[in-house]
Amino acid sequence: MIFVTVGTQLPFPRLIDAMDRLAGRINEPILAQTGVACSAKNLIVEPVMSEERYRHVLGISRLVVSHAGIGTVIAARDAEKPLILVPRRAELGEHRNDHQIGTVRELVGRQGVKAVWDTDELAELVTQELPPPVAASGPALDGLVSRLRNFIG
Amino acid sequence: MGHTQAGVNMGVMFKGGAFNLWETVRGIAMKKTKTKRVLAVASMGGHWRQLNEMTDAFEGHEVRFVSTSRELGDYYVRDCSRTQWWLGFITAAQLIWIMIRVRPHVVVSTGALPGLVAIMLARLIRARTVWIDSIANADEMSLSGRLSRPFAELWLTQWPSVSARTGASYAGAVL
Repeated sequence: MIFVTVGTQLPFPRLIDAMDRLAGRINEPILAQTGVACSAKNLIVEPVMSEERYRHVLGISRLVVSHAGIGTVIAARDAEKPLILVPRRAELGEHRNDHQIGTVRELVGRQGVKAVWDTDELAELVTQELPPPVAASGPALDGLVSRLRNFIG
Repeated sequence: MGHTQAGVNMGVMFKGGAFNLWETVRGIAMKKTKTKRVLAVASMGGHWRQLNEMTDAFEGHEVRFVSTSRELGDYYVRDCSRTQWWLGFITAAQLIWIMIRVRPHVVVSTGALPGLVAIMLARLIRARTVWIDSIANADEMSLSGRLSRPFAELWLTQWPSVSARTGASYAGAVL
């Protein structure tokens, strides 16, 4: 199964519509958390999932396709699921600003994270077997945690 | 979370009876001097997940979590954003009530706007404050992050380049 999520705050019709068209052409079921209610022909739509439901769906998915939200990036890494990110663009009214482009620019190239700028590229990518991300936390997290720990005292 | 932790500690403390009286006394004394009450605030979604990545930093302290979803954390506050800033008054009232009950020594937030409100209120009760800007902001500090500067004793970004440009400290990142 492919899990599509665009967070719970803002709609992202460009991605949802692209995945809906794809869902009609491939054999794999696609479940989508769409944030807002929307009509889709081929997707299984759940507008807003509970945390428990989200974790369950993530656990049984093969691949995650998502807006470039950090929540999904962390959750997919923890679940060791490969992730395709599609950044929201402010010029298309998809977010207040272009910070998701910065997120993708910085995260792309890491194992298990792919980026797509044009939703036409999704068709080829979603049928591939992508390597999963590495779940282990690195020295960057250790640095942040120890700084915090020292501050708290 | 904090409640269970404290419960377990008490159980262990009293299990040994009179034999462990010294341990018990020392335990209570240590608690008074060392254990801090930490209030950790994050909106649901990415902010919340980032906060959860760094909870090792709170080990040994009494921590209470605040979020904008009733499903998450110990306390719920209403979400607010720059487009619905007036809802910030409800969020602030809820946070004041939480702070009266928790009396935190340290308030930590990964954002967004409710976290900023928490950091501002924390200064009124003389709690120490930490702002950790979301890793989603790789080009500049978030608006809440920029506004938190005068209120955050420890003002962190998760990107070295943002640190160089803004003067925010960089100590690491969740990813």
